[in-house]
Order: sequence, then structure tokens, then C-alpha cells
Amino acid sequence: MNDWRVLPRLLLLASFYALGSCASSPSDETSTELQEDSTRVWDTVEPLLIAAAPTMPLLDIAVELFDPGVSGEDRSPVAAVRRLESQLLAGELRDTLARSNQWGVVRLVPTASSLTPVSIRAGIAVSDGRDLVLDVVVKDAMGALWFEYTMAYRQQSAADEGFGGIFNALANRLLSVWQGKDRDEQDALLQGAEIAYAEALAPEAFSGMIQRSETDWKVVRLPAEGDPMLARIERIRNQEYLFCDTIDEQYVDMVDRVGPTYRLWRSATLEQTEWLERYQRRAAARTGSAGDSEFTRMQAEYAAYRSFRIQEQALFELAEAFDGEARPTVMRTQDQVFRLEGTLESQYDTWRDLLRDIYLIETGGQTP
Amino acid sequence: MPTSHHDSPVPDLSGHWEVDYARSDSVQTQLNASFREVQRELRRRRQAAERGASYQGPPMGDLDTLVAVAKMAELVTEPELLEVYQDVRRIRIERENSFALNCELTGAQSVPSLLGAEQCWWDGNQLHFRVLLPDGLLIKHRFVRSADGLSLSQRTALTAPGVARDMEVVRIFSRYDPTERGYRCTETLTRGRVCTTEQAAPYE
Repeated sequence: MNDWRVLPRLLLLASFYALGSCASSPSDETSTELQEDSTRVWDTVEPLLIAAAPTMPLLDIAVELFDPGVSGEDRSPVAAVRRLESQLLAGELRDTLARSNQWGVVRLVPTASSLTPVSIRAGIAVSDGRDLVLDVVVKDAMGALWFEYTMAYRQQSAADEGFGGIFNALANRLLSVWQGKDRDEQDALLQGAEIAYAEALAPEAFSGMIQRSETDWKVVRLPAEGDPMLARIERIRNQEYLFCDTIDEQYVDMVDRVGPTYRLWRSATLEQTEWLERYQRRAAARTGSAGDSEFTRMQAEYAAYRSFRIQEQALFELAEAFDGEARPTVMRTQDQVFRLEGTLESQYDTWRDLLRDIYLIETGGQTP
Repeated sequence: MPTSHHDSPVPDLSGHWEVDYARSDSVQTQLNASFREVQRELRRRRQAAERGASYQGPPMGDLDTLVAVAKMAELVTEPELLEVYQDVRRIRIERENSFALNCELTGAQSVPSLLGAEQCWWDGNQLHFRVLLPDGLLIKHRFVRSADGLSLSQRTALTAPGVARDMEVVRIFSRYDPTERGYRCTETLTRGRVCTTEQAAPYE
């Protein structure tokens, strides 16, 4: 391989670049990332605005499991770690929003839906143990964009508590947008979200109530007061909430099992990067006769590499064990028990199809 | 250049292996051989200078670095036990007190990072691993299984900028059954190497 002999130089040049995305890395890709990295402005952690009590009206929020940014076909350990992170980070965001005490119920959902008035979607652009770059999009249930931005966080020291606090800015910004709306706008959003959910389930009965433009929407008609269909839809919605609760249980279980290793890996990755930077500064200042002996230098490099790989492999092993193995979910309706299998996304889709079938049966089996 | 041979079946290396010292190289022996070679080279240069001839031999390299590379060879070949997992797609060689060597059996792979880079490939006869560290120390491992399947040879060569020749150490491993040892050790993240005794088999 031609790039093999020039690799040491490439590695040294990359001293400020975080530990690279393993397993795929043509040098072109690396240099582009290096360029992006040198111009990136890193976010700083800001304090989370915590309320004594949630503000009224209560706004429920859905946090979608993050897009891992790797192909579903990619079975490499790095891809497995990314998929693991896509759940861990979404959970971290959910926890941050819940901790702020500003909101109604904050739920993790596998994919976009109009289940909640507002949903947050994020894709992992970079995640290497030290740096985290996410593309975040916040939309309401009618599809109107609230805001989108790229958050870039660089862990500053190995003593940092993982990614603690990195989602504070996002939570605060969401709050600022919500509080920037007057009460009528807030009520309209909650109303619109209910209609949008009903519309997705029974378009024949609820379409036309919301008028959408490219950037905005407006509720133009409301369902009749006491419409029995709304009660049915509410029941179906509660069943969907049940599914989200089971995801939560899986998430909590996963954090218990994977969290410590993941934090250890992140901390080790940063320690190794810091070590390398210190080492390179020393090496740059070293003259021919002074400094470490040849053996000490080689030994230190090898020890750092060995330690890094041991930590990384431990995480890879765990991530691969978890990869694509969402637990089957058993869901109960009034008179039936369903066992859902496959990935969380496919389980969620199946469950929503089932709920829709149940709704159709209840309303006389009319297919829209 | 690394190549892969999809046609040649990969022999099964899976199992537990322990170093067989009687059949393995000693690093000291290799280092002595290197010094003898350096001495011979010095003698040739001196003789050429005495004759007033210009010397055309290979560069000798730096002796400090040669010793450092030899000590590194000792460190790198330290693991006495290997545990190999293999399926049709990949192989994983777990080494006592060190990181595992992983490789997909189809095609060559590179795993770069700031702290070093790894490459591996199956060449039809041998499994190759390379680890390159930032300042240029290159560690090459080649694994080959004996025809009878009872031995595994690990040929490790180290080279560094300023050293004229590789420092090569061959270690031969023999199969062993871990259940017969009376104890079992595993590497853990938090506690390092943890060994537990096996439960004694009840008397019949």
C-alpha cells in the first residue's frame, strides 16, 4: 500500500485531530476532516435552565433515536459503536430535557411521528470519543421547522463527566423558542398536533383540518366536540405511548450494561490524545542528544497504543454484542398480546400498523 | 504490497496456544547475532579504509536504536498465551496482557488512529499483521499453522528508522487445553488479569 510509508507523517500532522474513525479512512477523507476540524468552532457547555415546575401548557417532546451516520449494512465494530451511541446520546438528550423540568413528557421514539407536538431529530456527523458533531433539526408535528443547527462539542479534559451538559444549549434554545410563542400559538400547536396524529391514523376523517404551507401551518377546522372517533384515537395514542415506554426500559437496561464501558473508552481516548499531544510537543523540543532514550520513547508509544486498543476493543465487543439485537417486545391491547421482533424501528412500524388495523376494525373496517 | 487470496482456504487456527520455549527464539540470541553482524561490518569498513578503498556495503544503522528495537521485540513478543477465535469471515487473536489482533479473512484492512495504525491480510499461506507507531517503529507479525495443526508459528519482525535490518523473533506455540490447567484467567477492564481456579471434578 502506497500510503503505508507516509502514514507516520500523516499521523503526526494530525496531532490536533481526534482519534480517527477506524476501519475506513482513505487519506483524502482524513485530510478533508482535518481541514473541517481546524476551522470548527467548538461549543461550550452552558448551564441548563431548570424550572421549579413545568410551564403551562405542558409541551410533550419526542427525541428520535439519532441517525448513526453509518450504513445499516456496515457490520464493522466502528459502525456498531455508532449505532450504540445513537441510542445513548438520544437518551442523554432525553434525560437533559427531563432534568430541566420545563416540559411535559419527553419520550424516546425510534422514528419520526406526529405522536408529540415537537420532535427532535439528530444525526451523528462526527463521534470519536473526544469530538462530537451533531446535525440537529427540531420540527413540530405539522412538519414546520423550528430550528436546525450543528452542535460541535470537544471534550476538554479526561476528567469531564462524559457528555454531561452538552445538550443544555439545545434544551435552552428549545425553551426559548417555546416561550417566544404567545399562549394562542402554544394552544394552536397542541391542538394542531392532536389533529395531525388523528389525520395520520384516519386521513379520511381528519384531513383538511390543517392548512399547510411550505414553512407554516394553520388549524382551519376543529373536530366536533365529543366526537367518539377522538376518544378512539386517544386510546390508540396511549397504546403507542406504551411502546415508547418499553423502549425506555430497553434504553435504561442498555445504559446500565454499556454505559460504564462507553465512558471508560471515551475517557481513555481523550487521555491517549492528550498524551500524544504532550509527547509530540516534547519530541518537537527535543535536540539530538537530550530527551528520552530510544527505548523509552518506543516503549511509551507502544504502551499508549496498546492501552488505547485494549479499551477500544472492549467497547467494540460490547457494541457488537448489542448491535441490531433489540429485544423482542411484548405488547398488550385489550384482548390480544403481540410479540414484536426485529430492530426498534421495525418493531415500531409494526406496532403502528397494528394500531391502525385495530382502529379500522373498531370503526367498521373501512379502509380509507 | 498486501494481497489477499480468496481461493486458498484459511486453516483453522482457533483454540488455545502456549509458547514452546524450547522451539522459540530468544531475543538475546537475536541481539547477539545482530551485534556480531555489526562487528563484522565494522571490521570490513576498517579493512577497506586501511586499503584506501571506498566501502560499498550497506549502512550500519544506529546502535542505540538497534538495542532499543531488540528490547521492544522482547516486549512485543511477551505474550505467552494466545486464544484464537475464527469463523469463515474473521479471525481474532487474543494475546495475554495485550490487545487482540483482529482481521477479516477477505481482503486487506487498515485501522488507522493517531496513536498508530494496523494493517492485516491473509496471503494464502500466512496471516499478516502490521502495527506502525507514530515515530516509525514498525511491528510485523506473521502467523502460520503447522500442517499437523499442533503448532502455530508467530514470526515477529521489528524495524525502525535508523536501523539497517529487521529484528526478527520466532515464537512457536503449541496447543493446550485450558481446562487441564486447574485455573483460568481472563483480562478485565477494571481489574486487569483475573484468574480463577477451576472446580475440581467430583470423584466417580
